[in-house]
Amino acid sequence: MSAGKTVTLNMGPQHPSTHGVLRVVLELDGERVIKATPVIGYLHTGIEKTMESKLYYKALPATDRMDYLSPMSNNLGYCLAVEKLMDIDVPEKVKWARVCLAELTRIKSHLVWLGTHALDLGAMSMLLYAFRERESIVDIYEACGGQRMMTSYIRIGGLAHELPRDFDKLVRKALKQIPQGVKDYEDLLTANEIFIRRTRDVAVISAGDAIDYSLSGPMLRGSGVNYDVRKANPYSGYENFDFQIPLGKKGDAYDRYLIRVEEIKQSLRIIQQAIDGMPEGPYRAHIPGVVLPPKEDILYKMESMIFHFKIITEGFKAPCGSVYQAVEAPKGELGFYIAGDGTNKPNRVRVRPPSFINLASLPKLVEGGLFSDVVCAIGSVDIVLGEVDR
Amino acid sequence: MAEATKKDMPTETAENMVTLTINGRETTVPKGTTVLQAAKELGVHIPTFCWHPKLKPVGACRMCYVEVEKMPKLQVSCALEVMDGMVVHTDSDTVKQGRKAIIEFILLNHPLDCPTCDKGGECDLQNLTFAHGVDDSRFEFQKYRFVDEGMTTTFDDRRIGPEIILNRNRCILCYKCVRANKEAFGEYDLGVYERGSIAEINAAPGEQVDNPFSGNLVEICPVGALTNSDWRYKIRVWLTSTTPSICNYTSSGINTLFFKENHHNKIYRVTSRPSDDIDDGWLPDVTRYGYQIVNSPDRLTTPLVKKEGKQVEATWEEALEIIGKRFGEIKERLGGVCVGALVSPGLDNASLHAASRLMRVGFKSNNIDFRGDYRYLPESSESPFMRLCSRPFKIADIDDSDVIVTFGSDLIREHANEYLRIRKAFNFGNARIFAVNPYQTKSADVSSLELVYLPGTEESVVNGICLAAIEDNLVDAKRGEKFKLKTPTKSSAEAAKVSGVDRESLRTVAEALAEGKKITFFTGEIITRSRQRDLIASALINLHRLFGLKGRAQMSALARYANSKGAEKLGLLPNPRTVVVDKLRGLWGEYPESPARNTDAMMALIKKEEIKGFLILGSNPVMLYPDREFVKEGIEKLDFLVVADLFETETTELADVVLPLASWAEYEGYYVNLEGRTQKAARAVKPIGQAKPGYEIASLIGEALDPEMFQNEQQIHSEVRQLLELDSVIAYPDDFLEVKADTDGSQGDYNLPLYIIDDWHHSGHLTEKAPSLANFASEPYIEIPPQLASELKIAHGDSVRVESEVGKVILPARISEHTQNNVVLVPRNFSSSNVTSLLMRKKRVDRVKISKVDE
Amino acid sequence: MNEVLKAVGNIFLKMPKGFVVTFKHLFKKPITLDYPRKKNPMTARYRGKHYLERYDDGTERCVCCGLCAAACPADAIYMEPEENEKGERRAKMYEINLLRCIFCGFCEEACPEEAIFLGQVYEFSEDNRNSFIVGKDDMLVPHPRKDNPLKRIYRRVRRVYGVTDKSK
Repeated sequence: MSAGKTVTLNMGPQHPSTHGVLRVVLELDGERVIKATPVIGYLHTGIEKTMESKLYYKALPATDRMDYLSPMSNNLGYCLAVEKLMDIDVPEKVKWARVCLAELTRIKSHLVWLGTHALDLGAMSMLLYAFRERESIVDIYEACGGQRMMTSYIRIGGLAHELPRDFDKLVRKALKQIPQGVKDYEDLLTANEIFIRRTRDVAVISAGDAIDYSLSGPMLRGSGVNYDVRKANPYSGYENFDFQIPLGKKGDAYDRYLIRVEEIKQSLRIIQQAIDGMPEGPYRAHIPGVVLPPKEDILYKMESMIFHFKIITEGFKAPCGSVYQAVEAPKGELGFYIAGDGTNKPNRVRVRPPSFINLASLPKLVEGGLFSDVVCAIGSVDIVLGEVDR
Repeated sequence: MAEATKKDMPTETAENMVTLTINGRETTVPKGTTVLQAAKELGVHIPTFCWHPKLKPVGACRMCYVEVEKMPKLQVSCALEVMDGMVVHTDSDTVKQGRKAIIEFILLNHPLDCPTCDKGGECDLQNLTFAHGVDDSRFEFQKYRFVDEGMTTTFDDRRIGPEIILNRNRCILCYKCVRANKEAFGEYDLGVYERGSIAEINAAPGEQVDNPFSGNLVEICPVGALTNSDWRYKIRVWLTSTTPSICNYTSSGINTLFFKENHHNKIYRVTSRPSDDIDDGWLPDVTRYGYQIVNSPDRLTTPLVKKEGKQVEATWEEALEIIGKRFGEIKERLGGVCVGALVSPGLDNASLHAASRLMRVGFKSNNIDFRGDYRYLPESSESPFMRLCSRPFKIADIDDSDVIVTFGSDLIREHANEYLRIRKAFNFGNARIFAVNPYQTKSADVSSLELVYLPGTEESVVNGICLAAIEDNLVDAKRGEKFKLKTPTKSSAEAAKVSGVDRESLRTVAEALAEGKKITFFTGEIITRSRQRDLIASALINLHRLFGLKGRAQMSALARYANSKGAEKLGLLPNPRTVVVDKLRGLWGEYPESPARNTDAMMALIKKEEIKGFLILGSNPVMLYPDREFVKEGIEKLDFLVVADLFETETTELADVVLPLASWAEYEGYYVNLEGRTQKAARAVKPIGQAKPGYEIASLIGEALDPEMFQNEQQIHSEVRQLLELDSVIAYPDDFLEVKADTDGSQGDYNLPLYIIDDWHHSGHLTEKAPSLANFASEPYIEIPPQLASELKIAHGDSVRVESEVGKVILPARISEHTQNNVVLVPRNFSSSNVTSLLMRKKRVDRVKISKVDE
Repeated sequence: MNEVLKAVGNIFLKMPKGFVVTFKHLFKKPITLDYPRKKNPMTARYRGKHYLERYDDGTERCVCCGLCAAACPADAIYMEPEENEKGERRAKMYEINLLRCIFCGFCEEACPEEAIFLGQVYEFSEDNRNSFIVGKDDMLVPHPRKDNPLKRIYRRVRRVYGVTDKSK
């Protein structure tokens, strides 16, 4: 092909390695990518607007469906934001349980990423191994909230139910199983020449660019910028836990792989601490008029019945004012901006989705690179289109 | 209480004002105000259960606790009068603790019924518990439960009236229902029985709560103790939305609120929309349950067209084509004057005006009227009666009148709202109230004196009052002399003899009228329906002049239907006033010069086959016109009859084309109430089936006749607005009017006066289609005074043959305690009663004879 | 050239480590299930297809109070109450549109009568949309019931005023 003549290639939205319904319009000069334009909106569901039209407590299940690989982190972010708006303090046990669940979610999300990313690059068995370990976490989800993906388990003011009786057992089982799996992955990939060749020096982004693009999560830390919401603005008692923030050097896809694997290990450490130090106490705060009274009470106590009835039908009224609460979701900083107007529905909900903002750096990552590296670049950003489009 | 204090309140002078501090804010209020009201005026909310703005306070629930400095304990603010220098806290910790304790106390025996209770979601107890209580209970014992043999269900619900269901377990004993029943409605069928923890609200032994205001008890109940079958287990309140509307059955324009559900396009209930100027927040049952006809499955949904003697369903296009063709034919062949129209005074302004334009511009005919159920003689729009009608009247002014005279009005049955106003004046004020009626009515309860005159002697009563005043020098003697010239009655004694009212009573009324500073004097349906209403009106205008009532009295003949007043103002009469005619001519550029005929004259001409085409909008003359044979024979002779109505009625049966009419809840309409106040009834639901509002029907008919006759809605509204702006009051003449003596003449052995009335719970010809109202009464009956009944050996429920010169019907008897005179009453609301076949349009008082039917 | 040698070395020296991992898996028991023939038991809290509970005497627990419909974030529940022959409040119509339903379990949490539960059934695919609108009859558990309920019920006895009928 003669120089100066380019080919425009449409990748997606039904392409297996675009992780959902991402469409990338690529301008190619031979194998070189001249220009890449991500096109989004194929999974737009209007979650923010949906949440604005619902009572505070009814908006919660919508958050499950944003980043459907890490529902608990989304629940946590929303609940923390509403709790901040309402000035609610939750019991100590709830904080510990939430940390434990959020970290399990991080592992779960990273495992899916690892499996699919490796699959994109040709390592078929990784997917199966990663999903095997992931299964132990979804089992915990199911035992807690009754659902394997859309848990809605973390609620405003606490948790939906008491932690299941075998919670401790299940988590310890997972704690035992996952490190073995992680060892397998590292054996398979870390020194794998094919993997290294596909990822090393591919999709590089410098620390300065990463900050300019407002990246967060492994994308940012891969470039060596030490920023993690858990350390920078600790929430839900993260300051009580001992863990490290892994940092990369080059900012390429391989560094991000290393960071995510290391994050799994650090999360396991946090979970170990959380499960060992889990305090006793109620599973949700007692805040009349905001948090539902216990189910057994509403059957025998008139006051509880009335409060239950009113909360279900009318919800609670949040004060006027706006809050922003960020959590470190597996994919980066997940922020909820909620503006209350004194009624029982939020006036405005705005989500700062890490996937969406990280995805914005895709042209930077791939332009000038080879076409085959686009797949690797998309994979290493770790996007979930449910969150990108909301 | 609000009213009571306002009334007792002396003028706002410095020594009558009290300064107090509420929550650190200083306020000055008149003496006698309660702390609760003072706080309310300041915008401080104090929660209450038992307090109601229109009732006297009792302090039963103790929810309204406030802390008053220097008083050792919490005080009940609804019953605590303000004192100078008082320092009140409504939100201190002690008060909050007190409220919490009260709520806990109230909830001790409250059953866990929220899921099954109809009040759930709008319950005061729920709301206040949610706002001021805690969400945990310390009560661990068996709750007290009322159980008795009358218990019909496992939920302990008891039917204590045709509509009302009582659940005593839910009752929190705020006594609001009992108090309202007693104070506001004057009914004693509900009471408190037993004391202490087993105290209960219940129907009086052996009685049913079936008074015509019983629906209000349900509305004011702060919990779900009183519910009604209208709303029972239908829908949850949070699924409904509300639309403001007004009542279509009474002329007061009572403000209401529709609760509707959009997906089902259905109205679920009506509640009050309190307006101090009109209704004080009380609704008569006919207003509350009358909406049910909107949802009725019997509604007409498509046009019907007569084909080969049978009415078959048709489309609007077909129906309009036929209408255009047939009316066009008549118009071309015989001229527009051979077409007449009768519209219902329940229609909104736009519909009435569109119909008027259709007749006057489309047909160039003046044959239009809105009064399909009054017998009367031809009259001009400036006749004495129309003058009386046009006088200004303010409902709110009843409250502080010191003399109230109701003349010829069975108040509750026709002006229930005004009855409650008069009762309020009776309770809280010191008004002298006189009820002047041909038979004893229930308003006797609120009257200082009830004058019962012989049927058909109204003008003698009025003259008697005037003459008694002249004789006892209560009025200006010169005017008295002039008055005497115009009246055939020579002395009050003579008038007393003719009318059957003793002279002493006449004199008492005269005295009150002479002394009264603010007088309310109005006439009701008995006068309006009388053939001699112009004569009576003349006598009343004379009375007005004689007593010099100008400036100190409001005296009027009250309109009966939702928009009677509007119809008058818009010129729906055959002979509107000159101002209206001029305005209409200005608006339309033309006005027909053809002779004007009222309903009566039109019917006569139909019979003579001079009117060949006829349009009826919402009226049912066959059922309601007081001479059934006369109307029916006439209408059968018509070439072409178009009837638009909500239901199939006696009149639609005779029609060539029947059009489905939308009800007042189905389109936005404006109505003029008896005060002349224009109010809006918003559209709550979509019209059922293919029903259309009246103005659209009139407009479409016009268009079918002549494409240029299309009337757009905006134009109609702007014309209506201009017409309503016209001054409607017609001045009284400068001299006394001639009052001739008038009697009916003998009617042989038919000598028992018969009055056609509205049932307690019905109004007009449509409400029998409302199931809740049918629960109260669904069958026609004849009300017989007990004395007469025992003479004729008629027991309650016996079949009674009622005969007049022209007809005969058989009706079940009802022994009535309210007609203790020799008068029988028959409701006109039931189509199966055929009562109008007993009547003759030329009679002043209908007389019948009754006898028991032997089985 | 150096780099190529390094890469080749890498392949021969380090990659066998990975092959060992995959090779080891040849001897491991499979963790997958032979699905249609074998099924994983769901946990007690599992939120599957809804069912409506009965009292022990067979009467429906649901009183059609509307709280589940009020709590439903997806507006999947439609109900119409009626008065039964005893004068009690009962559901005339109780429908859940399983296509709208998001199985969040809010209805179960909202129910003040412990009538509706999300059960263990997750296999309810149909070939037309109308079949996904399930009515009261489809959801009521059979009486007498065949199996024990999996969800915890706090109150077995019909609620009568007070607390003495509490049975754990």
